[in-house]
Amino acid sequence: MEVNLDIVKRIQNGESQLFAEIANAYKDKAFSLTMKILKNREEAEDSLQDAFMKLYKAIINGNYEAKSKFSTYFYSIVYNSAIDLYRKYNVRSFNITSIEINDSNYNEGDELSFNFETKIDKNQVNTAEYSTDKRVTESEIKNIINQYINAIPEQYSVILNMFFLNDLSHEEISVILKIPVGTVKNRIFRAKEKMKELLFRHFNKEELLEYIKV
Amino acid sequence: MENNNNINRFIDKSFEGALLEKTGTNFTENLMKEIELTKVFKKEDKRTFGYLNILIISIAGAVITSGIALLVLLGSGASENGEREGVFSVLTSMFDNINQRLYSLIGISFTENILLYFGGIVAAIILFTFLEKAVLKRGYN
Repeated sequence: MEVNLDIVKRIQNGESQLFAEIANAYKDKAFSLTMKILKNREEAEDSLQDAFMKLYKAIINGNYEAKSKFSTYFYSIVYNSAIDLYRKYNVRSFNITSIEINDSNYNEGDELSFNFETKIDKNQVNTAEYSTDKRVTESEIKNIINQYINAIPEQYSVILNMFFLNDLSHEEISVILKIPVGTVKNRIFRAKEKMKELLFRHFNKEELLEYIKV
Repeated sequence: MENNNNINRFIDKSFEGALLEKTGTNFTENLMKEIELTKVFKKEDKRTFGYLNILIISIAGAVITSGIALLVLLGSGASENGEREGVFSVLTSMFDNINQRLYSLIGISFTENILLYFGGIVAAIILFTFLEKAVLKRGYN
C-alpha cells in the first residue's frame, strides 16, 4: 500500500479506516524490525503501537505531507521508537555502529557464525542435522536460515530486516541508522556470504545448487 | 556464475521469510481503539479549554467592572457641604470606614493611587494570560 497525499488528506478529514489499512499493510514488517532491536514481543508491540500513534499524529497535525517517501519516514519512526524503549530498559545504549570483538584471532564476519556455532557446541541445535552429507530438503534449509537469522548480532539483523523486508535502499538505511552507505552494503554482503558458507557446509554443494535451480 | 546468481536469489528470498515476524491478531484493533480514545480526549480537552476560557473572561470582566466601579465610586464628588451624594454614598462611606480600620490595624490604607496601581497590575496579568494563550496555542499531542 503506497501512502500518497490523497490518502493523507482523507485521513486528516476523518477517514480513520484508511489508517487501519496502513497499519495492516505495514505492521508485520515493522514489528519484525522492532523485534530485532528489543527481542521481546510485548515491548516490541508497545514500541510499534507508539510508532503508529506518532505517525497518526504527524498526519493529523500536517507534519507528514507525503513529500518524502512514506516507508523511509515510517520506518525511521519505528526504529527511533524502538531505540527509545531500548534505552528505557537497558543501561547501555543501542549500538548499531560497532561490533564488540574480544578475540585477537577475529576475522571480519566471524560474529555472524559465532553465535550460530556456539549453539551447536552447546547442543542447542541437533548435531545430527549438522552434516555435509545431509540431503537437501526445504524444511532443513529453512531451519538453518532461521537459526542463522536469530543468531546473528543486531548490527546485522536490523540492516537485513530493513533491506530485505522493509524494502529500504542502502542510502535510506544509511540515513535512518546514521551510518555510512559502505557499512550498510558491507554488512549485507558479509551476511549473505556467511549464509552461503554455512549452507555449503551443511549440505552437498551440487545437491544444494540443483535444489535451488528447481 | 549462474549458480552464484541462483544461490544469491535463493538467499534473498529465504532471508525475507526468515526475518518476518507477526504481531498479535488484535494489534490493529487495539491501535484503532487507542486512536479513538485520543480523539475523545482531544474533544474533551477542547471543551474543557472552552469552559476555562469563558471562566477566565468572566473573572476578567468582573475584575475590570469592579475596578471601574471602584474608580467611579472614589471619583464621585462630594456635595458642597462635604457630604457624598448619589446612589454610591452608602458604599463609599463603608469603604472609607474599612479603609480607616485597615489604617489603624496595619498602618496602610487604600488610596486612589494604590487602587489604580493594583488595577493596573491585575489588568497586566490578565492581558499577559490572554496573549500567552493566543501565542502558545496548545498543540494536539
